[in-house]
This record gives sequence, C-alpha cells and structure tokens, in this order.
Amino acid sequence: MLHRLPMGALPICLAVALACTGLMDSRGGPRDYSQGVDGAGPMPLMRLGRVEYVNTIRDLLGVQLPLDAAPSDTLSPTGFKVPGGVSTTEVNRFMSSAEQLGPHIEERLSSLLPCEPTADTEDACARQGIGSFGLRAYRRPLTDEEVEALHGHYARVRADLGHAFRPAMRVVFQTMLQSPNFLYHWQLGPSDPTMDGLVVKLGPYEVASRLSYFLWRSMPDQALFDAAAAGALATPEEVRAQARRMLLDDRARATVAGFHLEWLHITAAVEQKDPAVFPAFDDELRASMERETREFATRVVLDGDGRLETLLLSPVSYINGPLASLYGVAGVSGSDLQEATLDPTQRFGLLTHASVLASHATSNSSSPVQRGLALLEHVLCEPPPPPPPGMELIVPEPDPNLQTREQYVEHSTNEACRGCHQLIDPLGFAFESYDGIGRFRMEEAGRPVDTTGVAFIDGSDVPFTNARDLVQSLVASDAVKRCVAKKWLRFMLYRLETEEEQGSLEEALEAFAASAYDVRELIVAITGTRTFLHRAPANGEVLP
Amino acid sequence: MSHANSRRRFLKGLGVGLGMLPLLQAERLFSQSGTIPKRLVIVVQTNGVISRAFFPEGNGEALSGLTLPETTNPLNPYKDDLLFMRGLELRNFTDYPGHGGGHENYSLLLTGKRGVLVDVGDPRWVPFSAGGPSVDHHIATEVSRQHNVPVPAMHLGVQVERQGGYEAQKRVSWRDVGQANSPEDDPFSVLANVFGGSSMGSPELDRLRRERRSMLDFVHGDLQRFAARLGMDDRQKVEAHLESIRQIERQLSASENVDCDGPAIDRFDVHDGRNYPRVMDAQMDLLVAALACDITRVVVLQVNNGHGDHVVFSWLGIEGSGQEFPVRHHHDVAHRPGSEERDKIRVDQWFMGRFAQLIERMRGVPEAGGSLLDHTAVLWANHMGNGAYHNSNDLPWIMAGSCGGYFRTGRHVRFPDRTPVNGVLVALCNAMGVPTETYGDAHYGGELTALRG
Repeated sequence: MLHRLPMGALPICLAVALACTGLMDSRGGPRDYSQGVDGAGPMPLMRLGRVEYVNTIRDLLGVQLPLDAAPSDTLSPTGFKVPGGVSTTEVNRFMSSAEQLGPHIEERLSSLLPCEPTADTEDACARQGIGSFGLRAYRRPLTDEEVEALHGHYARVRADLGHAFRPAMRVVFQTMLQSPNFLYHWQLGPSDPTMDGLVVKLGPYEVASRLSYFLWRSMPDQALFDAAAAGALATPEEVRAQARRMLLDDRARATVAGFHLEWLHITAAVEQKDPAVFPAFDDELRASMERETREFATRVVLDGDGRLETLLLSPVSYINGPLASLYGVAGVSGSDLQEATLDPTQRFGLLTHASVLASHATSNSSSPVQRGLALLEHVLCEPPPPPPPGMELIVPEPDPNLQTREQYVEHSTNEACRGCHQLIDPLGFAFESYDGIGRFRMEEAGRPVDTTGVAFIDGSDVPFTNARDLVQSLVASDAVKRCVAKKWLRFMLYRLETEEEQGSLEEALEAFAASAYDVRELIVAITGTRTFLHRAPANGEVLP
Repeated sequence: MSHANSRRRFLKGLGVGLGMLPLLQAERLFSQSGTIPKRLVIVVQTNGVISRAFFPEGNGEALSGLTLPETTNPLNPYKDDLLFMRGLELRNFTDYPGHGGGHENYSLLLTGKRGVLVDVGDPRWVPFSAGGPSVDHHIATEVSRQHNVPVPAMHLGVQVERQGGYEAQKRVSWRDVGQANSPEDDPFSVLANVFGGSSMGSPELDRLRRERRSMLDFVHGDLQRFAARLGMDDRQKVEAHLESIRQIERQLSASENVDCDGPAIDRFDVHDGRNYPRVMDAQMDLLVAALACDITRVVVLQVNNGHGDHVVFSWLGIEGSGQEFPVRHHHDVAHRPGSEERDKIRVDQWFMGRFAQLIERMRGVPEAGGSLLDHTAVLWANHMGNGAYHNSNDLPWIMAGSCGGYFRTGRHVRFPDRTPVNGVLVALCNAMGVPTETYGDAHYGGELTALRG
C-alpha cells in the first residue's frame, strides 16, 4: 500500500510525520469526556451487547438464541466491540426476540416459578414469581414498589386481555425482557448509590454483574447472587476469590477465546482470498484457523501456565488436517484439533498463527503495512495517526519479479511517508517469511525473503533478523506487557482507561509482573482494583 | 365482502406487482384531505464516483439536450424527472480540517452542521460524529406533527451491519447528538413491524397487538422511572429509548387503520453477501409500498455504510484480489478503480441502475394527476465526490421527482464550486411543507432557489 500525495498536501503529511517522531503532541482538541475522579473512571449507561444478550437469555431461560436476536455491536476506540444506542430498530428487535421466547416461557413456566399455583393462590404465586424471576432478570432484588408495579401489570393483563395465569405470566416475563432493568448494565436499580469519598462504591449486585459480564459475558450465577446477598463481595480479596472461581467455569472459556480474537482483530478480515493465488484457502481452512486460536488461547490461559511468554512463544498448538498441511506437519488428519508441537523456528505462539497472519494480509499477498499496524496498535498500544486526508492510495499490482517488501520502497525514500512508515513497515517485514494465508516461506520471487529490520521498542532501536527475534524482544518489552494489561482493562471497562485509572492499571500490572506475567493473575488483579469496584459519578446524577 | 378484504385478496394475487394496488389507497387519501401527500426518500451511497462519467455532458440546463455518460446512462429514460446538481460540497465537514478523511464525514451528510468529537484517547481515530439532527428527522418530526402518519420515518439498510465499523461511520440519520436512527437491515422485520403480521389470522393478530400495547405501556412507565436516577448523559440515552417506544406505540395504534399489505417477498438469507442485490430490491419494494399506502412519508435507505467494506460485486464479475484490503470490495474498487477506471464506473453504473428501477417502480404507482414519483423527492446522495480521493466536494447528488411540483426537474443545475449542501437540505424541508430558512449551521445560508420551478 502506498499513499501518494496530490500536489499541495505535503505540509499536512509532514505534520503527521512529526507526530510519529514524537515531536508534536498528537492529542489535543476539545474533550467532552469525564476523566473520572479519585482513582475511578465513569461508567456510562450501556445496554447489553450482542453476545451478552444471547448468553444472558441462555442462562436465564435455557434457550440458545441466534446472535441476530440482538442488535449488532459497533467498533469502539478500544478495538473491542461494544453495543450502540437504542432507536426504533433496536426496540423492534428486542420486542420480537421477547415474543419469540413466548412459547418457551409458557412451556417451562413451572421451572421459572417458586410455586405451583392453585386457583386460590395464583395471585400470590404471580407476586412470588415476579420476585424470583426479577432477581435473575434484573440481576438484583426488586424493590417492593417494583414488584407491586409488575403485579399490577399482571392483573391488567388478566383483566384486559382475558388471559389465564400462564399466558399472563408469560406476558409479564416478556415485558421484563424489554425493561431497561434487563436491557441495561445498571444493577443499582432505583436505589441510592453509596459514596466512598468522591466516587460511588458499587453495590454487591453491581459487583456481581461486573464480574459476570467481564469474565462470562453473561449474568451472574447462583453462587454470585448468594455472595451478593450475603455481603461477601465487599472487599477486593472477596472479589478476587470469586474471579478465581469463575475462571474455572466453562463460561470463561468463550470469553478468553473471544478476547483474543477481538484483541488481534481476527474475525472480519479473514473473509476471502484470491483462489488463484491461494487455492488451499477454503471455508474449512478458514474456520480451522479461527478454531486453532480459540483453542490455543483458552488452553494456555486457562489450562496451561497462563503466561504471556507462552502465548507469544509456544511452539505447541492445536491443529487439524487442513492446518497440518498448511504448516507442513505430517501425521495429522481429520477435522478435529489435536495438540502438536510445531517447528519452533516457524511457529511460536499467537503471532505466527495462520489466523493472525491471514487476517493482516491482502487477498493475494502478505502485507507488511497491515501486519506492522496490527503490532503497533494491538500489541504495543502505540497506534500511529491515520494517513492525512486527500492522499490518493496507489496500490501496486503484484509483480512476479518483485518481492512484496520491494514494493514498499517508496515508504522509506519518500520523506513525507517515512515518518510513520519507518515505524510501521519494519515490524511487518519481520513476518515476510509468511505468505498471505500464513504459510511459511523462505523465498519469494525466486530469492530469499528479507526479514531483517529495526524496531522501535521501549524507546530504543532494536535490530532483528527474523520474526522470532522480534517476538522475543516484544515479549521482553515493558510496552507489550503494559499493552496487554491495558487491553484487558479496556475489555472490562468497554472504554479506554482514563488518567484517573492509572493507579488501577499499575496495580494490575504489578500483580501481572509478580506472577511472571500470568494472564490469569492479571485478570484476577483487575477485579480487585479501585476502578473495578468504584465509579465516578455521572454528570448531573442525583447523589445522596 | 368488505372493501378491505377484497383489497387484501387482490394484493395477494398480485404478488410483488405494486402497480395497481395504491390506486385504491390514493382514492382514500384523496377523499380524506383532498390533497396528495408529499414524500421524501433519501438514498445514501458511499465511495464517490468517477465525475467525468457521471455528470451530464454538453451545454445548457435542459437535460433533454444533454448526454448522460456511462455511469448515469441507466437514468436516460427518466431525464424529465431528474435534477442533477453540480458544485455541492459538505462544507460543514471541509471547513474544519483535521477531522479525518472521507469516511469520517458520513454521519454529517444530512445534518448541515459541524460535527462533534464524541470520544477520546486514541490519536489514530478522530472520533467524529453528527453535531445535530439530520434533515430527514427534522422533516419527519414536523410532518408527523401536522399529519397522522403511522410511521414518522423509515430507516432501511442494505447489509449495513454486516459491513460493521464505528457507529459514526455507519449511521446517517440522527435524532440528535449521539442518538442515531439505526437502519433496519432485515426486510422481513420491516414487513412484520411496519405492515403488521399480514400472514396471521385476525384473532391472532388482534391478540398480538393487544399484548404489545400492554407490554409497551408498561415499559414506557418503566423507562421513566428508570431515568429518574441517572445522570444527564445517561438520561438522554434513556430518552432516546423512550422516544422509540412512543413511536412504536403510535405505530401500533395507527397500523390498525392501515389497510395495506406489504409486498410478497420470498424468504432468503438477508445476511449473505451474495444476496446484497436482493436485499436492496426488497427494501425498495417495501419503501415504495409504505409510501404508496401512506404508512410513512419519509424514508432513508442506506445502501451501504460509510466504507462499503465487505460488499463484493460478484454479480458484475468484480471480485477476487483486493490489494489495499483483503478483498476486492466496494472500498477497494474506489481506491483501485481498475484500468481506465472501468471497474469503478461499472459499480456506480450498477447503483444508478438500481436508482432507475426505484424511479420506475414509483412511476408505476398512479396517483391523481400522475404517479407516486411526482409527489416525492428522491435524493440519491453520496458523501464523497471522487472515489479514490475520498474528497467531500463536487458531490454527485441527483434528485428525482418534483415533490408535487416544487422542484423543476429535467435540468442540470450548476452551482458555484464549494456551494454548501445546506441549501439543498433547506429546499427539501420547504418542498415537504416544513417552512425552514436555514438548516444546520445558519451561516451556510438559505434555500438554493434555483432548484425550484
């Protein structure tokens, strides 16, 4: 990819180049954003995300809905997906999903109620059912007023619609699934918040939900509800103990796998490859790539030693027949994944997974720029600014006589481009030993590939000869460890961290370091930080 | 047999053929108010065009004496109904340099207003979004205040969510800052939500409606109670939710009087990229039916998001190797238009073919004194000028239909370079009977009266 400047645009580009060399503060401009106070950041009201909605319905009602039962998510500056707002389109979607669940609710109503009503006890049973279903649906106990309001709704449904007990309860539960108390992350309910200095201390049910949506992307389980009811989520120690328990639960596996796919932006990009260039890339191989990364990340983080070094350097992976032939491994066939130790000079952890390499490539070749950008943004947390507006993208057609790297020469010779691209491209050049679908190669265009370069890590120039060399430097660097901690913190917060939260970040980072960079310890430590257990008040919020 | 029943049967027999059904609807409208309502359709396309192959060739204003080049050639039979505009610029974006490239202006297309920064922290992204309500929302709000329209506005998309992206780069209709009207990508949801469960028997439909009313009524109160505890920003979000509930409640009451079935659409996978043209067809069928039945008077159709990623024109044979991007999708074609820009021209020509089809369908709906098209303004807008440069000037905007004689069509109107689009937005308001002096930032001036007869 080459950006070519139209005449007259040079000054803007030079300004950008300066931003990349650190000579200019690249931030600035107006900020309409609360930076938090007293060690905690804001917790803006947010509805359930797509996966959260589907998982919550699964755990609440035992029904696995398809993903599009909920509105789609949107990309956020964190790099992770977050839910958007609510307009009529979303309201319609939630309404039709609740209606689809109707027959199921009515069928298994007995299991959702703590009572078996007779003609005389229907009214009392309705009230009890609202309370017990409400606790789980709203993730907190309902107030007496809320139970009364819902019971009034039940009575009206019976009177006005002429419904019997069961269909009336079905309508009430369907209504609750469209209530803001179900749809939003707001487990405080109508109660007053508890202040702790300048910030709000989260209540036990808020902590329970923060834990469950962070670690499971779903509602709390009974043990969490019990802990909340018993006041056993009050101290960082208690919360961390719950987090440890929850990491052992199967629900954490999907979260850890999902984190890694979103972190390295694996999902969307592996969509299509040019069949003329990559005939091996079919639907099965593509799906296998994603499965490998899911399996690997889950096994390392939750079953293995959990260490960042293992994630980024382990030659052990989980492959099936299609991946084995891509990786040049003999003796593995079939579609099931099996553990295999790969050639450690070719495969060493996540960054050499075909999923990552194929996602950050074009449809017919590798892409040093995309791979370099991915490392800067996601692994080093040092994203360069975008190319200035008005630049024309000139994309060279592949030339059989040129190596991919040779097509990016203009980035280092053109003064206007060099500022940023001298930081981006070398990181990608290291991975020129992998083609556009992640197959290892020694040669391109009949000549050995050049994987040497100089990276800028932790403030100094770090020369490398190949990808393994580079990844070893990355694993050892402070920037990467800090970046991984930031990514997990952002994944929990659904937003970028604020200045006020630096203390929490440092605390989590210390625990990460103390455990020789065990990701589990990082995750657990995050749940005990000040910003996990508190929030800054919202502007204009009614405080006691 | 009642009138309603005979019409329903009549429709089902017709299938998609919309040609004759609204005749009856027009009769009803006529007898009610004596005038035919005015309607607005805004179609939003991304990635600009190749200007030399887009704008009419030749001198003079009358389109009859001009040649429509390759991209716009599919519109040739409809010259009398068209208004080409040249010289337009998204000044509410370009006057504020440093707010990012051509994709960041998408949310500003219909607001006429300087954008706002909505988030911070990542220097790579200029998180830039609409600074106020979009013109469709303004018009829809005012029109539904004046008239009893079941659905104030319809927001439709063609696989917009499949294309993903940041909210500000996939939303073009805004209630206000930070409050987007999301497009509905699923034609079958539109069919169910807007035209009601036309497949249901009436006792079942009646039960569903009564349950819905009861549930919405409760949720309405619940949202009000919920908002009481929140801070200002959060309360705004809940207010947007509440407004949506109100709108659906209104729609529910009004739909009982709507005597109109939606078009018959065969089931298909609306998320499959290869079905992109089918989704577009279905959404156009639905919008024409909704306008013809006077279910709504304002429609925004996003035929993609502000990127066009993931739309691969396999039916044009333009697919395979993307270079800048992993696949040769819409965005890739914009940056690599192909030899002599052939690929890009063919893609845009295909979009203009869809435009021609929409015009044809609207012309096929007779309404007193002419057709549905005559009482509608259809604006086909793009937030970029040149595809490869992603610039925001020389915008390829075309209008079809005179909106009840308000616009004088059949012309190519050339404005001075850098003319703010605001003047067009104001004209749309006034054409729709919403008296407006300026729209968005007032310093961009008033209506471009040259568009009128």
